[in-house]
Amino acid sequence: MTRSRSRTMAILRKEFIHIRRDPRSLLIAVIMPVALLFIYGYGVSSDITDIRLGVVDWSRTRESRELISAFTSSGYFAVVLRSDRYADMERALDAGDIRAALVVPAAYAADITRKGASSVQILLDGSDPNTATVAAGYAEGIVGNRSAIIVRERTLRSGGARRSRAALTPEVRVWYNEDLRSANFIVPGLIAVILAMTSALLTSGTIAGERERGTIEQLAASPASAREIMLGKIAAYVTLAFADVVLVVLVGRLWFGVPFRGSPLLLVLSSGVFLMAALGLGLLFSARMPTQQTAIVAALMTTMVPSILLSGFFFPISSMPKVVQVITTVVPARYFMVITRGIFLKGIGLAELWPPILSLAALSVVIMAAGISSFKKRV
Amino acid sequence: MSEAAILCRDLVKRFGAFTAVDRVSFEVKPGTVFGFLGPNGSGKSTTIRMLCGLLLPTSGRAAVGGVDVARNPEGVKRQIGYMSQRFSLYQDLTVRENLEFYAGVYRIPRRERQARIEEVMTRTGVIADAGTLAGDMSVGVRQRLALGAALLHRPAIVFLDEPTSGVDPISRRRFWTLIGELSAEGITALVTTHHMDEAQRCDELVLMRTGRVVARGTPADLIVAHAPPVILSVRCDRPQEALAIVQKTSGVRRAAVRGVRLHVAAEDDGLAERLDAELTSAGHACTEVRRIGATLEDVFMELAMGEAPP
Ligand SMILES: Nc1ncnc2c1ncn2[C@@H]1O[C@H](COP(=O)(O)OP(=O)(O)O)[C@@H](O)[C@H]1O
Ligand SMILES: [Mg+2]
Repeated sequence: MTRSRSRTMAILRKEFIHIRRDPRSLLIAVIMPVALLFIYGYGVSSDITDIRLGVVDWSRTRESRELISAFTSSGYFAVVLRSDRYADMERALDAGDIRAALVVPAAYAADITRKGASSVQILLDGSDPNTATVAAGYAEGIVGNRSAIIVRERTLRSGGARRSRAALTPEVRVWYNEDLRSANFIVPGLIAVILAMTSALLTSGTIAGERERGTIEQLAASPASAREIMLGKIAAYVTLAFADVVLVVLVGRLWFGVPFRGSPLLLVLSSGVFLMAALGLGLLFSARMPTQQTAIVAALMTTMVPSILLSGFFFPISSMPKVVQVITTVVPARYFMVITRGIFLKGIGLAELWPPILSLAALSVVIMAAGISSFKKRV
Repeated sequence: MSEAAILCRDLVKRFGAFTAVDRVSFEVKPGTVFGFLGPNGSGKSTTIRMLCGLLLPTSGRAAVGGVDVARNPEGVKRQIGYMSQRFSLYQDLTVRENLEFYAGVYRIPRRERQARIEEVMTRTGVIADAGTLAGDMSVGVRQRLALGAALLHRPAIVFLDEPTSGVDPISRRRFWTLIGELSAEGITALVTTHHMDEAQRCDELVLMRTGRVVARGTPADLIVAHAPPVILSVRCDRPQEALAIVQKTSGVRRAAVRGVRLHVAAEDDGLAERLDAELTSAGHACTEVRRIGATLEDVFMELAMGEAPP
């Protein structure tokens, strides 16, 4: 056992030398994650302000005016169109004059006073899904805040007898990101994206590269087993990927001020599980593809692209077509995204997160087993 | 007599419908230098890779150091050293790093490791380049490093696949001095080569062609058994033009220009006069027609380039 470990250690040490000597790997391991953090962290959080908003206020009450001013005073929306006709909003959205429209029903104030609840309609321009998603988040948050204020006022009026009953309940979904900073949402998700991308990029080249350079021949003629070779390589890239996790958490925490409410240990452990899947995929392609180039492209297509598009990173899975939703169940990043956001923002632990962790673990084991077994020593 | 270090019996390797190695049989005595000759594509590397446990034979049997290559390839790998045809150490690692890596892979005990690496570097003459990246070295030094890596774990048998191709003559000689030393220490070496002077230094040889062994024995045996009956060295003016005339003369098996002379493999002794007459009548001034001794080169040309074996 310890003797087998020494062989794996030799391979790990050698991989580190390759990584150190290859400027591309430093680029992938250090520069790229930081660049992504800044591109997404800033690109999404600060660029989307003054979203052009159209307003239809059929209520024309103090309550409805308060809601509208909550939108404008947030800084995220600027009212550029007012009308009584719904069709005007549709036309303006079509023409791109507005990005979003707020429709307050006639019964808004009456409903709140009498039933204690109401709903408003928000129309979004889906042609720019990024902005739409962020705008939806903002809008839901603003409505949620209004709701909380209404509840508070009511409880105060009624002498605190009836406690919390939300006024504008159904839309409130971003309650854990209370200051509506999308960086809080983006940075934890980026951990999944960055880990998937770096581990796929770094590992996918390794076996195919040895085959291309002919070095696999010497290794295959040695008594090192395929398992020892794979484990040594995995150990090297896991170390590197964990350094990336720390890097992203630190930059997210210190630069973007993203809260970290959960257990660091749970983040490390679940990252480990996710890495198994990401590295396993990289190795799978590395062993199966004829050249380093095709291996890298294949690894990127199967790890990076789904981890951005099919993971819930940008687009909520619940709003995807049914077929696509089914596909996302085999995307490891989908589960890891839920885990990291839960740990960072909600501070929840194993008690709540065990279902996604379990799904992720199952996927990881399957992928890693396929990755390891795909490398045959015969050349 | 001790057991053969390497033993092949009817070894066959097919790639799909193509037979790369066709019923190859030979034995290598321990401590000898065994040469593998044959034109490109004749199946030398494929045979070596089967013997190293890298390729599974399609049929036949082979044992290296008494271990069956098909049944226990990992057992074979533990006791052999292998230098592949293409340089297969890491070009982005230094000489020392490459050796340290393989010392780890072969599980050389930690306390012995540095001494063993120094010893190998000294022996192969790469110690001055210990800190140089393998990719920055000349082919000659690189090949000596590859040999060093193959010797690190003190194997009893080494397979060297074209270790001197692309290497300058001085480095080649140095390389063969090393092979001679190994042999003196009792290490068995199987070496493939294209150079006849190197083949001459082998204890025994096999000559392969289209996957088959077409001749085997000591260099002297091969010359006796397979050299053409008569070899003539012809000196005349405009040898390039004269070649066409010589090739058409009856009794000439093969002819080639060697510098200012023509090297002619002939059926019988009487050809010397006929050649002289033919060339003179064609207007070539023939200054000398001399009978010379056959070399391995003649054997190689005869067997490898002549009619295909049945
Ligand atoms: N993996 C392979 N798949 C298909 N054909 C191969 C393979 N390896 C070698 N060959 C073919 O087998 C023949 C013998 O090759 P090789 O053993 O490398 O010859 P040599 O070493 O004598 O030059 C060649 O025609 C080569 O193209
Ligand atoms: Mg060859």
